[in-house]
Amino acid sequence: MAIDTKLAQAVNAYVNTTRMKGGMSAPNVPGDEPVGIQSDFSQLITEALDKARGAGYAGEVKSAEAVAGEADLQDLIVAVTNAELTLQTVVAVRDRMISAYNDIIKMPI
Amino acid sequence: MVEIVNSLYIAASGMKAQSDRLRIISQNIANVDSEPTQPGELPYRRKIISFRNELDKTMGVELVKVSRYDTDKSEFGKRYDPGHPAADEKGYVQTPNVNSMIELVDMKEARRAYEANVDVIEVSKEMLSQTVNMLR
Repeated sequence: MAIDTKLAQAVNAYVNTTRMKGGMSAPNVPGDEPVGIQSDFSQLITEALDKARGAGYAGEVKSAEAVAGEADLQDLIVAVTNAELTLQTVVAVRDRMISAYNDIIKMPI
Repeated sequence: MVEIVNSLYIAASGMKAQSDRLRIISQNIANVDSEPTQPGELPYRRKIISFRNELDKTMGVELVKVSRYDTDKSEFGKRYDPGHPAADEKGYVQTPNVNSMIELVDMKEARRAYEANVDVIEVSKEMLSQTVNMLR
């Protein structure tokens, strides 16, 4: 539950940040292509984080059930592993995308 | 990636099946001396567990499930003990058809099978992590 709210906040913060970035940098860059890339980028991040949030939520539900003695430890392990790996993937993709984004920003015009 | 996540679920089903097996074995071991209290009563009968493969339609994989719990139909043991409250007219008491040695070997087998499934989970987790690390 704690992770869930944190993840939800993270998703909101991310969406806001990408929107702000898009609003700020859009006038500086001529052409439609960068805007298209930006919206795709934010969409990608949002979708990936949503997926991670879903996996994290499933993990939380399972751990709550396990604490109450309703779920098997094996199910809990699978759910938590799933959540952990999905979050790892999302973080890795985000880092990679941001570094790519930075490379484009640093590009001399 | 979905394939490796599926293998997590398959291994988890194996772990569940083996822990159920251990539950049955522990019942047998605990009741190895459960004798009748009066003549005509039967002692503890050894329990057997059997497994079955089951197709999971959402994942398209074969999971392992417990198919049934049976009782061992073999004969009870006999011990000469005329002073026992459950002794028959010849002085014999029926004892459970549990052989501790067999149960211990079964337990080892369950433990090894459980460990194998844990290894599958560890390896698939590692493989996924390695793949994700390629992104970094």
